[in-house]
Amino acid sequence: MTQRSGSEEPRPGGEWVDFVLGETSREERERLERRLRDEPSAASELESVRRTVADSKQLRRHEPSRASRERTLVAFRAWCASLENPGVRSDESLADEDRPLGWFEIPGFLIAYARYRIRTSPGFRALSLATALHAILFVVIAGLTFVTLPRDRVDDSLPFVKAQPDRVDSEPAERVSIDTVLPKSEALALSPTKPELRDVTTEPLHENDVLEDDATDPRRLWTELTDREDRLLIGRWILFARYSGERRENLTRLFGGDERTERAVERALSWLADRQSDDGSWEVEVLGGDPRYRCGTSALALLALLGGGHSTIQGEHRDHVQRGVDWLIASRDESGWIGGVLDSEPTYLYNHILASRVLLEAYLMGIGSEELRVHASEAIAMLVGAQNPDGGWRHAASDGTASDASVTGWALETLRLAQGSGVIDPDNEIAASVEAAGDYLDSITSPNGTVRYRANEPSSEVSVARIAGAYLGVDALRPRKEPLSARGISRRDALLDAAANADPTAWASGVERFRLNDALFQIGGDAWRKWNETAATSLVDSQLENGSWAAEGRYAANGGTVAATALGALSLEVYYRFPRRIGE
Amino acid sequence: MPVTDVDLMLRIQAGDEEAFRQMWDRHAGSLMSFFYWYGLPREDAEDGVQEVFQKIWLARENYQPTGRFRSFLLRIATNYLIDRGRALQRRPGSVSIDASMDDDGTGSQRLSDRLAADAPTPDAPLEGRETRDWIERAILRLPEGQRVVFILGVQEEIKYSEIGSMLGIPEGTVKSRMHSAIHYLRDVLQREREQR
Repeated sequence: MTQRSGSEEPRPGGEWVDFVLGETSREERERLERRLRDEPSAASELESVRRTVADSKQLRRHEPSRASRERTLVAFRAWCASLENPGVRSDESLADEDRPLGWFEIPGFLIAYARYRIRTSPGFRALSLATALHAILFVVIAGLTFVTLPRDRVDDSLPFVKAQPDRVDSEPAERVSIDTVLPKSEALALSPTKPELRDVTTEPLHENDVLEDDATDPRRLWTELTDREDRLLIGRWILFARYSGERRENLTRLFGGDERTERAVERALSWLADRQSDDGSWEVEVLGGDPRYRCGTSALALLALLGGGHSTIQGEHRDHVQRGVDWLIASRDESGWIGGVLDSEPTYLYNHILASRVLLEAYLMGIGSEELRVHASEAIAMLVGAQNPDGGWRHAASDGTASDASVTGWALETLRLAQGSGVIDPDNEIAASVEAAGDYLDSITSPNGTVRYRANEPSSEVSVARIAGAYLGVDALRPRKEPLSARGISRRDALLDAAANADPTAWASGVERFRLNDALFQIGGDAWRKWNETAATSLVDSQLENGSWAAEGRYAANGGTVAATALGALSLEVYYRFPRRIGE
Repeated sequence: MPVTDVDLMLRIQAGDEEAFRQMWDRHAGSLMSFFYWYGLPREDAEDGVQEVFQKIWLARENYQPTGRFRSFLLRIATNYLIDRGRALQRRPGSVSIDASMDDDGTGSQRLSDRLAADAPTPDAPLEGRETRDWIERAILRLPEGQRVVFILGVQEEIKYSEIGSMLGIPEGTVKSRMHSAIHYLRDVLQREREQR
């Protein structure tokens, strides 16, 4: 790809560009027209340039949003108002405009200007809000300090009090710091910037629920959870582990994360939230992606938000999650597919699978929403119905062509999650679908653990993402007491080999790294620890200043920066996003 | 008799909101497209449009009804991009609109970071891809300097000399950037047609 010439000199052949754009002098034009008559190759050169210019004029037009128009009109009124000039002005008042403001006009001008900036500038709005909230926090802390401090100690600690004659003989005062009176954790809890959130993880779901134990040591709960073959296990884990709190911190520490990984997740989620469009989706085409994958990429962004503990009912980004979920639901076509028909291609299952998973996780985290349950269950049922006779899935629903390992891996993992969620009850059809998909993936797994792309294609390049997808769908989520099958062992060994030989800082695609990361977390043990040490650090280090990750590798142009950032966040949420069902 | 841009501008000078509204309806879309195809994220592009309209208001006293009004708008728009580029350049890891074509400019603002590869994959068949999609993606891959020259020259049909004046670069540089941009786009289209 020759994007740069490396020179500012006009390049050979450039005269035809000038010719087409009408930038040639009369003499030059006549010379070029002679060349056109004499040299057949010149005509084809001209035609190719002319066609390129014509094609280039067909760019889509983009309109600013109505909200932007309204903001600007409001600003226009503010500009007028700031000059004491509402509406149409007379010529006399125009002539008067350049006079300096009187001192009594300055507050009004500043207020008008501040109102305009607050309306039109998100940065200024955030700064104003933060300043106001800090002021409130300061007042609250100061008030609490004043109310809580023992009067005599406070007074003794103040230098001007010590100087007073009637206190000279009193005992030396013990200095009282605000930290001893109001520990930092309490101060934070009182912060008005944090909405008061309900800790749903402490609420009993039903009798004998493990959540009632309220233990914060993840090792104990992990063992208890994974020893139980409860149908709602995964749903409860999500409630248990994702929402912010001590449990999540403990899980993060236990499995190799730290404050840096959590900060990186926070920054990435803020970046994603900031980039969400008004309609609730993410315009991937604006951020280096392909508009055909808008639905799937938006779903990835939502999965990252959900994985970070933000649901439709809880978390700083809950409004974004709600808008995103609403957009996905609104995107369902007449048949019920989400992100289905794309250009000339029929139903594109990657979009539908990822969207279904969002609905499912949003339902699990947004306890009790019947509307979400209905949409999630319908989406899952359609996915089951789209399964090919060979047991797998392809890009289009039951299109009769051979399935492929990539779509099947994503579909199977989603169905396993649905199977454990209770979103469809009874779930016999899901169970049968899961079993058939497992058989299909086993059938295309080679003895050395590599997974072919499709059954009727020879084994080509080794795809770690495909192996990891099969491992996550078939092996990692199987009942805990069921040993790994021979194929499962070979897949695990292939993944361990890949991890041992991989450079966690360089991957063919973000998807590949994300899938391997998830699979190795499930495998656990030294392999996970060793991998995580380098992989987490490299991810944190490669995060851009604004919180995103640059899209790199083979699929970069599909999901662009949104997908890269969502996958980065999901990778660093691995410690608590799902339970580790097997492994050490 | 149709209302001209100059008429609207004169009414805006008098603080006429309806004129401002009409001006927005007439030009905001094309300005938005200009910023968008320059490569700004949608929300930044909207901010850009708003900034241009603010500057129209602020410049109302100095506006002289000579030359194309569209050029006047684009000059404000390019100034906004240049200022924005300088502001970004002050931050580490960013590039400016007037960066040299040799400037590799690795950084968070670089679009090529977002558009790393376009190699077809099994999951992304070529069939059904529209020429326009390819062109649009290819435009976003152009270096900033070439991209802005291309948009001004091809989309807005502004002459090389005026582009040079707007961007503060020699006309020869405008010419070479335009040649490079169009040849790059031509190569992309030819490759795409061969693969169909």
